[in-house]
Amino acid sequence: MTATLDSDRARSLTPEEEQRLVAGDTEKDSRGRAVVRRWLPTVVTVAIAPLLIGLWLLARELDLVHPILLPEFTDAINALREVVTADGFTMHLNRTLSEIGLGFLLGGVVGLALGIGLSSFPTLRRAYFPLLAGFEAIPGIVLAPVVITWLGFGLSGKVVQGAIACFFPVFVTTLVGLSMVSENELKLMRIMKASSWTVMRELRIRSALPAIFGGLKIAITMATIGAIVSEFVGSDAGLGYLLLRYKAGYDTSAMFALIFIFGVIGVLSFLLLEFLERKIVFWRKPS
Amino acid sequence: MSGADGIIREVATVTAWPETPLQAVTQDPGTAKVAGRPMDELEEKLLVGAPARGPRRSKVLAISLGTCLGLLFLWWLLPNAGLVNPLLLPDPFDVAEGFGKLLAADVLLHHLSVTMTEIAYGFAIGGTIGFLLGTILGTIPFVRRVLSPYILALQSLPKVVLAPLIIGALGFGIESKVATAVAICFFPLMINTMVGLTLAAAEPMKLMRSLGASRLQIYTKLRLPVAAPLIMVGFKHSVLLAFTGALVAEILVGSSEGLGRLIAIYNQQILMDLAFAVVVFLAAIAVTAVMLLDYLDRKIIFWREDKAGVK
Repeated sequence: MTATLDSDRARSLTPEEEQRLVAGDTEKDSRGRAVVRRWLPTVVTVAIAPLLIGLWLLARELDLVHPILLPEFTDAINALREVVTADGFTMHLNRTLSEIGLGFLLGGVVGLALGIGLSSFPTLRRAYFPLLAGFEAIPGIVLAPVVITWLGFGLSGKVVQGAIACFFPVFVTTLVGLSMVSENELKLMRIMKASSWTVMRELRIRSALPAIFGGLKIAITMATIGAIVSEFVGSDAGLGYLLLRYKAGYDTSAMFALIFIFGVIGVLSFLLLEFLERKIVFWRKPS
Repeated sequence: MSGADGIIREVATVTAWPETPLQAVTQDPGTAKVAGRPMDELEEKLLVGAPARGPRRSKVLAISLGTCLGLLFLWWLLPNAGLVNPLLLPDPFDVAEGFGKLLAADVLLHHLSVTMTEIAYGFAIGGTIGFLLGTILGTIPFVRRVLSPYILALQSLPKVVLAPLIIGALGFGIESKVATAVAICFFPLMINTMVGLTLAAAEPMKLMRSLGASRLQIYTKLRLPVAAPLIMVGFKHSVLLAFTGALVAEILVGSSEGLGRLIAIYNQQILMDLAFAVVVFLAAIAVTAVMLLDYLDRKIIFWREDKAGVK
């Protein structure tokens, strides 16, 4: 997919247009109807959360699900407070966060470096890409027990596992991003006798940045999964380890609380990358 | 809200990219195109930057084969030169021998059938759910808009953390592994189907409407073909995640069968030649599955080549 193709592509519909078009709705809105159309989705979105909580309460009230599977809503809220204030929680949290952060850093740097390196050598790129694409298909989790046997239950094994998990998305998007340059800009630079390093620095890396950030966003999720899976396989600390301990104690409300915390970590790390992207790729219009 | 919609769309499109490079990168020299016609020598020199006679296929093949052999030699060298403890890193011959032992003991096929059954059920159920939900989200804009913040939150949750909960609920049998695989693998297919179905351009859509096409016709003749490449990528990710889900559940469950369990057990007993044999075996299966899907992809979406650009 080239950059030119992208700009030639006809625009797709906004949700509103699509809705009206498919429904065959051609009338012009009255004022009141326009207001309803504008605000209804937001209202429904906000209303879904209390509805879900209501369902939860109802399921508990009517005893539809065994309490071991679905704790009382209030218990889950209290458990969140207890889990967070429990002894050693900060230690476990720090441990998992450093696993994710260091794994992401290691895998990201290696992926970026290899992506940039390979894209400068077309022959090597063509020789190695099918190999690496094959490796990508291997589920990283099969290596988790091996990595732990090698590196032990500590931090280093988790970092390596996280790096393995997040190397590929960064590497692949870097390689692809670097090859997605606008034809005209490339032509201009070549006509002006830019060296290939200048083309790489001033054109390729810049136009690859949005794609690379896309890869980084996937990578941070993969690093998180890698760290957690690795903690499941064998660990002496961390939130995944904590989750297994609560499971052993049949403390479902605490497990719910931890899963919620994992969700918060996921959303926050994603938003952090969004923020960085906006700062670094500042010339790109926000979606 | 459209912001969340945009983010989801962006991530799904980016995950789709690994599709493009294979074609872009492995393009043979002399076949590059400009403005729809093949480039002449000068243009290719100017635009592609490589000499018109690029690396030959045989040279490329030699390099990749050479690298593979080199890596294998390195793998053999590390334990045999005493650089790494052979107990932790058995050399390739030991692993091959271990594989032979496993085959002779008739262990492998039994565990393989267990794991593959879990993956097949997980993928079949998860894939169906993902495709149906994606279709609903992709074709009913109201539902999509209303749910997109929740989808974004769910997307950020590393879904492996649900595995202990699922195992607690469903026990140590096959159900918990299938359910874990389903929980992990339905998501990429759902997102890719949803995004793909919204990619149909405004003009053909309006044309179909004005010709009186029904919703079903718009779906089968316009939206689905446009979405097909993205959906196939979603399928591929789903299969790989079904592997991950089943293996995570197997490793987490205390006493049971399956290849993931086998790897964990051999590691605990430091029988690394056997562990490596299973790892290599599983990796080979996953790679084969993806190659099979790639082949199906090319057969089903035969029109994709027209879209692939070269740079």
